[in-house]
Amino acid sequence: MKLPKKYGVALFVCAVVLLAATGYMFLVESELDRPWKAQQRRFKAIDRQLTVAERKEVSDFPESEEKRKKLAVLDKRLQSMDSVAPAIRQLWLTDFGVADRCMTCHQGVELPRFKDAEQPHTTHPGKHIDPKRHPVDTYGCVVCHAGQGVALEAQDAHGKAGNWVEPFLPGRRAESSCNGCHPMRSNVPKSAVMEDAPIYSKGRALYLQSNCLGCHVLDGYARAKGIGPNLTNLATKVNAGWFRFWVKQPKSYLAKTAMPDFELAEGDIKAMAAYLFSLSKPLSPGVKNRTAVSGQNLAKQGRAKLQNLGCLGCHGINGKDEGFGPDLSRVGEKNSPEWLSNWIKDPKKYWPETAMPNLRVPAEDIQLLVAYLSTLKGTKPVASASVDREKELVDKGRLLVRDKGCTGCHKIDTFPLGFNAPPHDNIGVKRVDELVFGKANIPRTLPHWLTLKIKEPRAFNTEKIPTLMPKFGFSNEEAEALLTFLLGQRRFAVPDKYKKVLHDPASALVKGELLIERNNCRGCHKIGGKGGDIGPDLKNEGERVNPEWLAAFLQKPRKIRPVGIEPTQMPTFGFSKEEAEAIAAYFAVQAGASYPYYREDRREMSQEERDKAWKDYWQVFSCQACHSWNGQGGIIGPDQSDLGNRLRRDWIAKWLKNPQASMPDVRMPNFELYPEELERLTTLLTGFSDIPPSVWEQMRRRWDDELLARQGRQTGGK
Amino acid sequence: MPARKTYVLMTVLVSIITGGVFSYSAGASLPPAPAPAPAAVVPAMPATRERADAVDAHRKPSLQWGNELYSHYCTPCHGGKGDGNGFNAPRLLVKPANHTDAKFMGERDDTKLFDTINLGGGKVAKSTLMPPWGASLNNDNKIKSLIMKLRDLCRCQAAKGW
Repeated sequence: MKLPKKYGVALFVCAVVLLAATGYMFLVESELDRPWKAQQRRFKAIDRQLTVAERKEVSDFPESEEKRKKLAVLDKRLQSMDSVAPAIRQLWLTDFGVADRCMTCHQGVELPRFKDAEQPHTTHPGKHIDPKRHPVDTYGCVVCHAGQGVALEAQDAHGKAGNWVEPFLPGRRAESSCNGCHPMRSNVPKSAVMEDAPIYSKGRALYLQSNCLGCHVLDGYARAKGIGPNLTNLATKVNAGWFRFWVKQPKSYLAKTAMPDFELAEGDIKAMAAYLFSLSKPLSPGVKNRTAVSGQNLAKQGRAKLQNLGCLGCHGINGKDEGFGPDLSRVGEKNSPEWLSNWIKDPKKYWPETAMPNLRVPAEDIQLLVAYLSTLKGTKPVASASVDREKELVDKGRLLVRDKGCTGCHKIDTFPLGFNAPPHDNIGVKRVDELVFGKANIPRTLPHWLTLKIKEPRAFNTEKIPTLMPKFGFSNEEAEALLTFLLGQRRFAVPDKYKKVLHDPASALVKGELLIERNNCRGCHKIGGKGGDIGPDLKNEGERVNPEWLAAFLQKPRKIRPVGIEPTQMPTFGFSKEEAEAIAAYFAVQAGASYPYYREDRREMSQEERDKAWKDYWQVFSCQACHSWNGQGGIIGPDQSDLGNRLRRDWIAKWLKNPQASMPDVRMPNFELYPEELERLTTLLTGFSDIPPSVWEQMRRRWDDELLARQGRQTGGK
Repeated sequence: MPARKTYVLMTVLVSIITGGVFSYSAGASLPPAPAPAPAAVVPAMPATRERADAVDAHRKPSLQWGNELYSHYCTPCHGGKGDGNGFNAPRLLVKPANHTDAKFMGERDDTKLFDTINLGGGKVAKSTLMPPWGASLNNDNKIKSLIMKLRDLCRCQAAKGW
């Protein structure tokens, strides 16, 4: 077909017009409408909407200077909005070696008025980018959130870019980056929380609690001592039936135990028992288990004893396993009476690293306790079983105990402590091609891999590459916390000036807290408002006691408050001198009290004043009615023999002035002392640790006689 | 055949333009804004000591309150039964008063009991081993409750009213 020439011309003209239009679309329009430009337009629209709304609100205010100023600001904002041209906003953070264009789309991150706007315009949550903490101009976004800072499209910047070396850390996962500047190693208490990084802090606590360091190595983290009991003499502690029951599914008995599930076959458990039981040496004889002696119900007495000893500060007996130590609801099935009595007598003899203190229980009371504990059994008691001693089985068990990594948590004298699992250094930037996915059907990214590994350690198991890690049974929330912690284990190129240790392991507070946590002081005492009420509330401890005295007391505790008021006594934890001093320093520093404390015991007092003070002590206020000195006197308040050494002078004065101000329920009366009485009594009491017994005895006789004489006069005259 | 070439070129151009427009509209559409999160529920503040005291300030004297106070402050010396045989009694030179003694207690009116608790034994010509509790209890209704408890213990009435 041949068309006339004029059609050709028309078509040519059309072609030229269309070509020009297309050129315009390509060169001008499409560039105008890059996704980030659309975002900036949307941002502007939201801002206008918000500003107009705010202006309307402000214009309803009564006339004032402030209102005029506010309106001026808002008007200026509205005007300037029009003149802002779309532009890529880029930060070039030379200190961190990154370029960051995130604010091109995330324009509202620093503007509080965008808090209800949708992503990417919304305000950054929390106080993280507060100008006083991490100003955006200095830190940008990539330093914490990783991802591709220079990318201008969402998918490139923070999509699932699997092979990008530093995967984007969305939302709370960015907490893992806190580790770059604010490290918290194993020498910081588990309970330490970075205020702005609760998930990371929780992950770290779980990591330590679950003793991941028993098998994995992590730079700067030390292996914990005393996670699981020493297994060398296991046969003296439990029978084979219990061993099988326990190892098979530890959490079915103790819901909160750190012992994971190794998913062991029945035959393997038998072999392990054969090996472990072959190691044990016989037990030194303990008390015989007797539940009744001449009609007395020993178990019932033992139950009362147990409550008074403060056992419940650490152990629960309700099967819920909520305590610091293991739940005791089935201890009668688990342990033999002989083992229990040896254990209570001196726990550290069987297991030197145990957190269980020596409660200094007299032998006859141990018998009562054991009588009670032996009655604690489940509804379906575990049947005892015998152990095979065949050489073959023992050898098989030995290999299993070695290869399963039991020594990651338990000390066994025949093996070195520890186990070699892959190190966790730099696991936060582990490359995807180094990970074994096996048959698991999950997206090929590090966070996905880690999450599955934490929750289902055997998910990547194949015949060629078997997995050894046991199952810890972490919840989704716990797995996310652990993931956040692990993603934070990576090399950070951060200049020193940005580093700020928030929990300084060298500080008295951190050192003390570490010990307080490890020994579960809060099981019995309130410290900083948190803890049990078996022992005294220690809120005033730092202000109250001489730290030197406290350090000595911690190493060798004794009964301070009489039994009638305080039935429990402080157990012996076996603190070293350094540990005891660290705890004493903790309390002093926490209270803002002087440390070290220089005892100011000798304030000048004339003989006349001293006589008055003694009269006050014996006759006017009769302190001896409630307090004893060297065991003589009342047994309501603490013994005063070493009062001057135990308490700080300022505290004695403060206490005498108004005891209820420091301890609202205390039975010590407020005597409403005059200042001169307060002064001389305080001086007398601070010298109390240095009075020779003969002087004391002389004073006691003199004033007791006087009291009796006065009493005689009163009754006689009546 | 220039015309045919133009025809082909036009077709190509049209398809390119259509594609461009399509991508333009796709780029301009934004994800819808998410619904605002529900406001967090503020947990109730736990009761504090200050609050407990504030409640006490309006608490009327009662035997129940007297029981609580007596068992806390008095029993170490006067005993759980009120017979003066508390665990601390053997350590004292003067035996604590026997509150179950109707004759002894009946001789004392409520004012005398109030003064003894409030100011201590020394101020009412009795033993100073009984300390003053007024400043510590810091609430007359507590003392009145204790007197109710004492009258309950002795099963006696005051010699005189107050």
